[in-house]
Amino acid sequence: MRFKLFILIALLFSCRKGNYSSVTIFGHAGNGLTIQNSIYHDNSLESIQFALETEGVFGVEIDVQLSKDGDLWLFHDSRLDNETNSTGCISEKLSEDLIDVHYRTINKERLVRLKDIPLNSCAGKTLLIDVKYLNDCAGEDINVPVFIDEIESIAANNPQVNFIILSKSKYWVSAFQNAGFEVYFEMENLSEYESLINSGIHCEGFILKNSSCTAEDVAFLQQNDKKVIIFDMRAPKPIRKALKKMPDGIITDDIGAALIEKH
Amino acid sequence: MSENLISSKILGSSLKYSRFLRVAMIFILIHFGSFSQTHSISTSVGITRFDIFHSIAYSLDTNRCSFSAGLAYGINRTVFQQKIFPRVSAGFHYSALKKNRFELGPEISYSFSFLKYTSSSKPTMWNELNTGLFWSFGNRVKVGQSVLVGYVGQSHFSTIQQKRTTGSTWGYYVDLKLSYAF
Repeated sequence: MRFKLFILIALLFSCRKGNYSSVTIFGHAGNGLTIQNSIYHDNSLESIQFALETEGVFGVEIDVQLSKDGDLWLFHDSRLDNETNSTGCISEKLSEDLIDVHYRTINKERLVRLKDIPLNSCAGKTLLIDVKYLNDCAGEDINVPVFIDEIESIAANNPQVNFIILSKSKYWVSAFQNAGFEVYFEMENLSEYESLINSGIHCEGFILKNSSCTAEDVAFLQQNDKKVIIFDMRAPKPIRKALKKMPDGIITDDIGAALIEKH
Repeated sequence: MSENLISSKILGSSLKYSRFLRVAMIFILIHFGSFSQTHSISTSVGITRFDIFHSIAYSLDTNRCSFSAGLAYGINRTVFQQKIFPRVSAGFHYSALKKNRFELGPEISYSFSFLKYTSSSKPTMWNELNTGLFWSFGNRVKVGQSVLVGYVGQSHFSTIQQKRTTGSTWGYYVDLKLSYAF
C-alpha cells in the first residue's frame, strides 16, 4: 500500500513540462478579467501594475476606450452601469466626469487613463491595446483618427514601452500601421486568414481564441512570418493546452498559473 | 497635584485591567479548568480565493472551546501543477449552541500561505483573517462545516520597485471537515 502511494506521488511530481521559454505571457486586462484570485479589478491601475511587476510577465492586454473629449480610458464593458458607480458609456463622457468614477469593489479602484499609467520604469514591457471601436450608447463607431492621434502621442512619450494594437476591425488596420504601430488582428478562426490577405490586410500578427485554434494553425501563421497570440484561458489545463501550441504569446487571466506552467 | 492625577490615572487603568483579568480568568476556569480536555485530529477540504486546500489539523477541545492548528496544501497548484502551495492556519471556535451531538457557534481563523511561481522568483504571500460560523455533528467522530469571511493581505515582490508591495481585499473560507477525538 505504502509502495503504491509512493509511486502515485512520484508520478504526480515527475510529469515533465515542455520547453515554453519562447512563449511570452500577458495578463488579460491587467491581472486577469473577473477572476477571483486577483485582488484588484480588471483594467485598474493596481491590476496593471501588479501584472507588470510580476517576474516573468512580458506585458498586459488592456481595453481602451475613447472619451468624448479625446482621452483614452481603460474599461472593458461597453457601459459603465454594471461595474462602476456611474452610468452610460465612456464615449459619451468627458474626462472630468470620469475622473471620480470607481469600480464597485471593496478597494474602489478608480478608472484610469492610459496616459496616467506610470510607464517610466516599465522598459521592455509590451502593452497590447484592445481598441473598443463601438460607442454603445449612440450605436455608432468612435472617432478612430482621434484615438490614433492620442495613442500616438502617448507612445511617443513612452518609447521604452512597446505598444501593439489589437484590432477586430479590418478597416482601421492600415491607419494604425501608418501611425507606426504593429497591429494584431483578432480572428474567429484560421478560415478568415485567406479573405484578409485577399482584401489586402497585412497585419504583423494575429490573436486567436484558445478553443478555436490548433497547433497546426499557429504553425501555419508563424511560417507566414506572423506573430500569434492566444487568448481566453484561466485554468491550468487550458493554459497548458495553449502553451503546447507554441504561440508567440498567451493572454491569460491567471498569471500565476501560466508562470507555473511555463517554467 | 499632577503626581496625584497621574497616580489616580494609573490606579484607574490598573483597576480596569484587573477587572478584565478577573473576567478572563473566570472564562478560562469555566471552560478549561473545570472540564476535561480532549484532543482531536481532523481533515478538511476548504475553498479560498486562491485555491482549494486540503488540510490536516490538530485541535485541543474543552467543553465549549476549541483551539486548532493545521497544515494545508493547495490542490490545484500542488497536485495539478506540481508547485507546492503550503498554508498554515490557527483557529478558535466557541460552541454557543450545544444540543445532543450538534454544535454551532462563532469561529475565527488566521492563516498564512505562500507560493513561488517560478524557481527563481520570490514568493507571493497571503495573510488571511476570517471569522464566521461553524457547525458540527457527532461525538467522537464529527462532521462539520465552517463558513468564514474576512480580510486577505497579499504581498508580492515588485520587480520594478525591487521591494515587496502589499494589497488587500476581502476573502472567504468555506470548508467541510471530518474529525476524530482521541
